[in-house]
Amino acid sequence: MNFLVNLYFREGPGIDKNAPAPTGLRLLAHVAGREWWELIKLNVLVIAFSLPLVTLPAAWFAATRIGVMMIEDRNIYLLRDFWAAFRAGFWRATGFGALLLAGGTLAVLAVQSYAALALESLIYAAPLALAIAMAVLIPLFALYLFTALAMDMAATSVDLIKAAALGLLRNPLAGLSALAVICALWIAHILFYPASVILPVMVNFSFGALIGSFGVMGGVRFGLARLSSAQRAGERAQPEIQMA
Amino acid sequence: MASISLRKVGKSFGALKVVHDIDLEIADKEFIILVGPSGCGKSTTLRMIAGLEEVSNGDLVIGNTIVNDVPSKDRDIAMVFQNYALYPHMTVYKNMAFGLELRRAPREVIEQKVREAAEILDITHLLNRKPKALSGGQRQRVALGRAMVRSPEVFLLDEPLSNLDAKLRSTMRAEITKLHRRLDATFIYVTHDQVEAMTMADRIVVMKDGHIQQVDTPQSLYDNPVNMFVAGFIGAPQMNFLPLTLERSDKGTIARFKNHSLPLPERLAAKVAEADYGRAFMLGLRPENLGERAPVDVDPALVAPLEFLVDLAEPMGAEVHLNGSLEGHSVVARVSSRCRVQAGESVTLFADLSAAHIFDAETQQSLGL
Repeated sequence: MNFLVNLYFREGPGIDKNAPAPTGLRLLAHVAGREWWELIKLNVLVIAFSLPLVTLPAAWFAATRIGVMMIEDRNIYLLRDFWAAFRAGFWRATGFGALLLAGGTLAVLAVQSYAALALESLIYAAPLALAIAMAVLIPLFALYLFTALAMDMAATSVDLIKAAALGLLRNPLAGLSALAVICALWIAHILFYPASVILPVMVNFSFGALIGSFGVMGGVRFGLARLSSAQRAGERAQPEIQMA
Repeated sequence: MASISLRKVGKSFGALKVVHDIDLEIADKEFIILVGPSGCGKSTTLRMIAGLEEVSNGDLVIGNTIVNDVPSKDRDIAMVFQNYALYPHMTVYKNMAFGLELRRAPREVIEQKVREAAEILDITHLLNRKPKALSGGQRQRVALGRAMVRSPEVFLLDEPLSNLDAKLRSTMRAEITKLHRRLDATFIYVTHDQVEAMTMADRIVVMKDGHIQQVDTPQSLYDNPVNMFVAGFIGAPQMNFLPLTLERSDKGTIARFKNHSLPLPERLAAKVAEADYGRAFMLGLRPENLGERAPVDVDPALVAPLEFLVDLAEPMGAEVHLNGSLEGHSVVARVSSRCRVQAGESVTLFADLSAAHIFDAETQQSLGL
């Protein structure tokens, strides 16, 4: 027993103040390794808060917010911060979620319809390709938009949409990769069910939110910075216009 | 105002009395160190001040209030433990913030205080890490930070550096001293390491077997120990003790160590003149008062050459510690690194008796005070 106690309380190697901060996938691994227990708890929170279904976008947003905080290495009080984000972002996340869900549903229906038609006539291949692109683009844009909201809750909805769009244009591959990993988590769950029943319970939501925000943060940061510099330029120009 | 008074404070565990009615006045903003060997009651005394142990008898006064029955949390003190006592499942930030959260401090205040303490202790880069990843020194800083954020009037530190390696201990010693100056609070520090006590304290309390032996500034303790225990405990290597007899003669008092007549300085001669010459005495000589050359800044009449048989020479870099014997009595001398002697050789050492101490062998009390 003492062995376990000593193992639990033993000194660590120490953290070098001047050690270079990890970047890229090393940063993701670092965050996941450091916060794995918090991620499991976060997953349970997301599931609990998503049970009424209508709260799913807000719960996902709150998880994204926690993911952003983890990546930014900020101090996290999980329940408190989750609840604060859930409350603060509820209406906007729900609104965005409803619009994106409607768009995504339409895109999936369009894919189904055009796929059936394309089997009969190749002329439908072009709208099918467009529908598939939209079906991918909408969840991809959702990642950027929710992360933008998580990174700057003070911004207006229009600015957030612009920042997400700019981020998506700036770095779509990172977002696509993140989306692919999130999909892979769910596909793994489906393929290996029931052995994989534990996956969604433990990691799919929280790890998905972490990976999603990690993948798109760079682009969103770029989008938010561009918007804020444009706003600053506008504010500087304002007095000159008034004086004129 | 965080002056602390211990008035006839004692502590018993059943029939066993571990602290014997001690009296101690600790001034506001003073850095006081309780020092002594294991089991001397220093940690128990600290824990009584902290409120972690009940006072069996006497009064414990903080400020102007008797706090014997005041719970620990209401005493406006913070304690740093030897094993740090960090919560392993909490990040450094949460460890530091926990005390304030229990007091329902506003989040902004908690954030500000934790950040300030982290800045002072240079641990901002650790705030979101768990103790598991931290080294001993980093854990120590976190433990200090956790005490600091509460801005207590009194800091109690129970052997906080004991688990650190020598180099880190030396660094942290300096940091804690600086921290005391910066925080301007009362520090009560327990250690068994007399080097820590000498280098950090405004005053040192030397304890033995639950009794206070002496309370004084570090230099005064070193120069004027009241008894053989304090003389031996303070100083490294410790003071040498040689048996001595006193005889009256026409020229005054003669001190004899074996066949050697040793001259005594006036301050001692006056004191020993009042002593009972039939008693046994001990001569106390610090290792630095035994040198391979006669000291130039001392009256030559107070320097006695003695034959010294070297058992072991310990080179320390700047100096050499010679372990050996004078007339069969074990002695340590601190000589310059230029002194080249080998084990088994004899060498003449010059005893500077101007700095000597004489103790009553039976009572072990100093005759010089």
